[in-house]
Parts: sequence; C-alpha cells; structure tokens
Amino acid sequence: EPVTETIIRDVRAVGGKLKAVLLPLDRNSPFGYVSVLQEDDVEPSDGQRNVLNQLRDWDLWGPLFICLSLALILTTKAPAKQTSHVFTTVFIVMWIGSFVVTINAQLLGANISIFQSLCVLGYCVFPLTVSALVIAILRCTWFGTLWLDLIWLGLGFVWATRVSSIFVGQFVKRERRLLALYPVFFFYLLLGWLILLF
Amino acid sequence: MMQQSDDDNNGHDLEFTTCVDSSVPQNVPAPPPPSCHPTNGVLSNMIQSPATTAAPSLQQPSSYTPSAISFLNKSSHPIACSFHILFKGLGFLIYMMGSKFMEDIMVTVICILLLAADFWVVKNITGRLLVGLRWWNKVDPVTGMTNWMFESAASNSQNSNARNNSFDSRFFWSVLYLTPVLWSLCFLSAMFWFEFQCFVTLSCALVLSVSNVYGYYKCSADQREKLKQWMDSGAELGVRAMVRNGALGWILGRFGGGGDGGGRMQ
Repeated sequence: EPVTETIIRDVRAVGGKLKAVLLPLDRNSPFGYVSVLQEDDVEPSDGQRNVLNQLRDWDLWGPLFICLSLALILTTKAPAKQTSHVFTTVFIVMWIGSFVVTINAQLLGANISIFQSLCVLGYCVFPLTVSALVIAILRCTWFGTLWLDLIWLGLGFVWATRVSSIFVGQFVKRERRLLALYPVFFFYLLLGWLILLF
Repeated sequence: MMQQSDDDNNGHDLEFTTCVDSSVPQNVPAPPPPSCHPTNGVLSNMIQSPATTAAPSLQQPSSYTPSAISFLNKSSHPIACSFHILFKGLGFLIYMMGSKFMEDIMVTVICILLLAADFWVVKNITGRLLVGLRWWNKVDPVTGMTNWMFESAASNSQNSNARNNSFDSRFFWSVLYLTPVLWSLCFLSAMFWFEFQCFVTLSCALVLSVSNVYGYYKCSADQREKLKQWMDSGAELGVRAMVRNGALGWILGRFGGGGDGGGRMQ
C-alpha cells in the first residue's frame, strides 16, 4: 500500500482513540465507580463497550506523544536549571508507572495483555494533559490560583480514571478488584501531583 | 504398455526447472557467496553478478562519500534506502553534537521524535519495500487476544522481481543490525562515564531499535521456514513420484519375476 495511506491510517487510529477517551462514556451512569466496586462482574454498557473496543486495538504511538506533550508542558513552566530533571521525571513516572500497574494487575490474576493495558493507561493520561495545559495557560492570567488549579486537576483526574478503572476492573474478580484498582488511582494521583508541583 | 507410458510421464515429473537462462551473459566471474539471507535465488544472483562483485567493496563506510550516487543507483528503491538511514543518522548526529548548540531538553525531545519516526519508517515502509517482510499485530475481535504476525512477501523463487536487489537486502540487514550495536555502545559509554542525563534518550533508542531487529529477525525466520517448507514439499513431491515409480517398478518386477519364475518352475 502506498506510503501516505499508511501514515493516514495510523494517524486516524490515534485520533480516534484520543476522541474516545475524552468523550463521555455513557449517559446513564456518569461515574462507573459504583458498579465497578460493588458488582461481581463488571458488565460494561454499550457506550462503555464501544470505547473499550476502540481502545483494544492498541498502539503505543498515542501514549508516546501524550507523554512527550505532558513533559513539554511541564518543562515550560519549570525554572531553567531543572528542565531536564522535570522531563526525565515525568517520562519515567509515566512509563514505569503504567508498567507497574499492569504487572500488579497481572499478578492479581487478570490476564491482560501488557501492551493493551499500557495503551489504555497511556491514553487515559490525555485528560490530565489537557488539564495541565489549561493550568499552564491560566497561570499567565489572574485565574492562576491554587484552588482553580485543583479544580481543573480534579476534573482531569476523574475523567482519566473513568475508562482505565473499568478496563482494569473487567479482568479482576470482585474480591481483588480494589487491590487492582488502587494502583490505578494512585498512578493518576501521582501524575496530578506532579502537574501541580511543577 | 500402458505402464511404460506412465513411467515416461513420471520421468517428466521429475525434471526440475533448473535450466540455464541463455539471455544471461555466460562465463561471468563467480559472484561472492551470498549472505546467509535466503531470499537470493540462484538466478537473480547470476543476473546481478556485475553489481554484486562491486558491492562488497562498498560496504565499508569510508567509501560511501565518493560513490554515493552510484551507490544508490544499485538499489531499486533508492528513496527507501536513504530514508532508512536518514532518521537514524540524524538522531545519532543530534545525540552526539546537539548539546553544543541547543539545550539538553531539546536534544532529548528531538532525538526521541526522530527515533520514533525511524522506528515507524523501518517497520512499515523500508522493510516492505527493501526486503518484502512485514511484522504487525492483529487483535482478535472476539477474545481480545493479540496475535503477532510475521510475514514475508508471497513469492516463489522463480519470481525474481519480488526478490529484490541483493544490494537492497544487504543494505537493509546491515544497517538494521548495526543500529542497536551503536546505541548500546553509547549506552555503555554513558554508564561508564556516569552521565545519566541521556538515560531517557538512550533507553528509548535501545528499546525501539532492538524491537525492530527482533521483529525482522522473526520475519526472516518465518521466511526461511517458508523456503524450507517449499523445498521440502517439492522434495516430497519428488520422493512421492519416485516411490510411486519405485513401487510400480517393484510390483512390475515381482509379477514379471513371479511369472517368469512360475513359468520356469513349471
């Protein structure tokens, strides 16, 4: 197939997944947390299933670009001496963090493929990236107080954990689900804290 | 009588098509033994022997510059060859020299972007064009399991057009194997001098290049497997023909002998 077709195909796949992560999952249950924590089998509803199926065709380009953009956004705000440290920290936290969360879920008995879970966790950082961008832009204006930053971060955090918690929760039995989900929350919390810090 | 004509047909079946192509110049000096890459059919080697006798001398990097244009002319996909090297070379160059005229952070970002571009180009484009190999993954829509597919271009050894230049494949494989070696040398030297700030770039470079090498190695193993299977099935056909022939001959001989023996006994 011609080269341009290959490029366009890949770009469309990444774009589709980004859109899927950002859009609301389902009108009926805005937060999937309740069902995830309480029911025996997490049955994703139709809207959620669409999103999950789209994220199933994994590719790691999206997470790479998301990670790079997040790191770049944070380095633009950082003082000059520390830019490389900030970049390295964000990069390493994101990749190693996703890897650790995946290994943890696997050790708890879920048979998730590593790449798929890396893909989902990486794409779900996208809302946090958006909120980091918003914070960075607003910091120049008089909106840039700590409390507003926290609001943006909170929104980003909820949006980010929505899809990933359902994805991870699908594969783990109910007794261990909290054990598997806790690292997911912790991972996004850590990223959010880094955004706030830098 | 009928069995005799059957014999003749079976005899024709056994003829393999290794005829000499008279359009090829004969009495050409023997080309150097091809690399262990199995895609080079015997015929295509003979056809391109003038090129291949010149090619070994071009493999040392010092002679790239004087004959750069003629170097690229030997390839049937010169653009793909240049892209194959372009991103890798740029990335390596910027890694080495970049900190002289831009900040570290820009060096890292640009290196990572170039390395990612190089990975994509080698995986999707140059592999397909230069050696006809492809590796990708397919997600099973039913179970959600990932299947890795390593494929080689469907071609028989008679289709020498699909068997690209031996130059192309030699170029591709040498550059492909050289890249992780170079990056791991950089990695080791960085570790040795305790410079850890390039760690991110180097680990990215290593991961991407090693995964490309691994994917193409498995593709080529698959290709070798296919070639072996083809040869085996060809040999099996031949053996079956021989067995048939032999069985018929044996049966014939037995009846004939029995008849004769029976005749003689009586």
